[in-house]
Amino acid sequence: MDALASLLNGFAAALTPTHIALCFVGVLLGQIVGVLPGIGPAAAIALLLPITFGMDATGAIIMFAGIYYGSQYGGTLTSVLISVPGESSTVMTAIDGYQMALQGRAGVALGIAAIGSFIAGTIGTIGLILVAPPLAKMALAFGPPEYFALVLLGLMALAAVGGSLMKGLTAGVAGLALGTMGIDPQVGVPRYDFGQIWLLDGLEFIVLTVALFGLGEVLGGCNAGVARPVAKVTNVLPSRAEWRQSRMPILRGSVIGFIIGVLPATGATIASFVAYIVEKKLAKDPSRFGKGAIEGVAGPEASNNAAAAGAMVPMLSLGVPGSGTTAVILGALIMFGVRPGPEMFTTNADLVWALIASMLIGNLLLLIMNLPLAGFFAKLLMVPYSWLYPPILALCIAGVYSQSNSVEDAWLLVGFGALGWLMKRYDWPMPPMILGLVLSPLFETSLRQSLTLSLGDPMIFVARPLSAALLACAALAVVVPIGMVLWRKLRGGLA
Amino acid sequence: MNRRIGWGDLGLSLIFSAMGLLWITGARDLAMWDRSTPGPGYLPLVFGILLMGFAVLAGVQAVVAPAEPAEDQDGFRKPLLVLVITAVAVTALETAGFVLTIFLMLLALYALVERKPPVTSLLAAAAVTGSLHVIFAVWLAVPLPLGPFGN
Repeated sequence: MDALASLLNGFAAALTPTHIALCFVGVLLGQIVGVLPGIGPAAAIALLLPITFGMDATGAIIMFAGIYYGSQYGGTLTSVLISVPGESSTVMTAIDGYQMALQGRAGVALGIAAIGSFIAGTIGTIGLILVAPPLAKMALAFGPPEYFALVLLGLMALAAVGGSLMKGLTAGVAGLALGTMGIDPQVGVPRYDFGQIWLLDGLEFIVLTVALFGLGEVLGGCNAGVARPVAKVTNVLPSRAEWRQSRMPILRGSVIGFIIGVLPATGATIASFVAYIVEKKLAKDPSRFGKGAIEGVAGPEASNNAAAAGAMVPMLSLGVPGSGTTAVILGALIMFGVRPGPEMFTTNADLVWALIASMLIGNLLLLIMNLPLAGFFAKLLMVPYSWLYPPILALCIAGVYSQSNSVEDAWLLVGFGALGWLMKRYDWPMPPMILGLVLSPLFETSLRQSLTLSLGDPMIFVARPLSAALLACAALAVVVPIGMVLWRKLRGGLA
Repeated sequence: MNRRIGWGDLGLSLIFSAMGLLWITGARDLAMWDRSTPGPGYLPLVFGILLMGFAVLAGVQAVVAPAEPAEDQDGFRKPLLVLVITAVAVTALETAGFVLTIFLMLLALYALVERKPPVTSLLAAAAVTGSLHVIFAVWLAVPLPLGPFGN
């Protein structure tokens, strides 16, 4: 009942004209960045941060969350129409979605994706309402050792998800190391300022995020300057038979997506992959998959949208983001003076519940927008990237400069942008680096507080059951992928 | 035997190893431990060692078992050109002012790098620069660099 009353208060806050407008702008921008190549939701949020400085925190966070879940649908358009996933979470949609487009059923594929996304987004948000508050209540009992273990788990899991564990761990530790720049939080000693006064404040997360996800993406994508032919979009409403084929995959995908989204670092990409596999396994005729099966679109699409809502659970209830984009949203919360963590549900209850209510409103807006306007958004794909990246570059410079009116930050943009380009080119994951930078202060403070409590005895981390369990999960996140690689090699050797 | 090496991965592992070394060296000037509590140099040292260790392992992986090159390994020329133009723009930002610098950067990118028609490039560069000026300097009142002509 408490949650229901809080949700109603949230609706009262979210249904103001300003917040509805910001929610609309957020989902619209999310849709656009999901469609356009070379700029993802993380970069879009980072670029918009300087513009939102004067805004109230609730409005800004409502807009950022809208960009996040709106981008999930935007990525679907590119997957279905040109077989190029706009977001990694829509890779599975491309398999059957593009085949449907080749059969002249692009409209139906986009229509069922929109309906599935709406249902899944709503189910995911209801899951968020049910799970996040009790989890936050439980986490109020967390002490410094549990927080240390939790941050370690988040980082390990995110580092382990990418292609190479070593690359992920390197990027994560690099982010943690960059987070130690500036004045030491406990004793006030300057660290790694290299004699530069402007580095005493440390490295701003906006600079690193815009550099890696903005400039890095532009440099990585500027070679692809030509637009690809786009399939025609007509008749987006599915027939009764198509709806009957899709409704259970949508429900299954919603549940799978939410559960996977809640787990640290797994996120929408893995959720859509699992949903696709499940649908193929359950299908009476699995051979239809890969040839335009509507269930192959409905399941993964529902799953990635429910996962986006699920990923908000650890961010809002524990203050530990589960993905690159939620790490950027968390950084934005910190910039607005909100202290993320379990206290958010008590100290910033208005903001949290307005955000949750806005997610339900945003999902409805996305459905209303997408059914009639799918053809319009498809036309965005016809704009060649060669016209798009120069303004993105100019926005990167203006955004980073306006952060603290510092040309030195613009230099850092160039340096880290070059690094981001190389990381993208050679498949080094960037989200662990951002997450490392954002979580570095919490990581350091909780470690130092824990060791102060135990008079320097590191056994404090394993002596407390919850902390020990979280550390065990962190270890598993690294050991399991290594074990799987060794197992595959062993089997390959024996075969 | 003609072994393939992942030169890109090797280069990145060298960059991160150097960063790890820098963190280890920097930590030596900071207190490590102070009355049962880790000092300001403790975690940077740990991060430096871990960073170097992981980066070296990633480098070894690039030599021993290099990853398959991605299918869309486009050339270096255009991204480098875009990077150089961006760096020049950042250098000129405070001297020439925001409006002039960004306009010239966009013009260079459209007309020289992308070979768009000159008039269209001029119009696009002017429109984007004007929009950014309105958003940042007028609406948000950000004190963007003015340059010699007060722009």
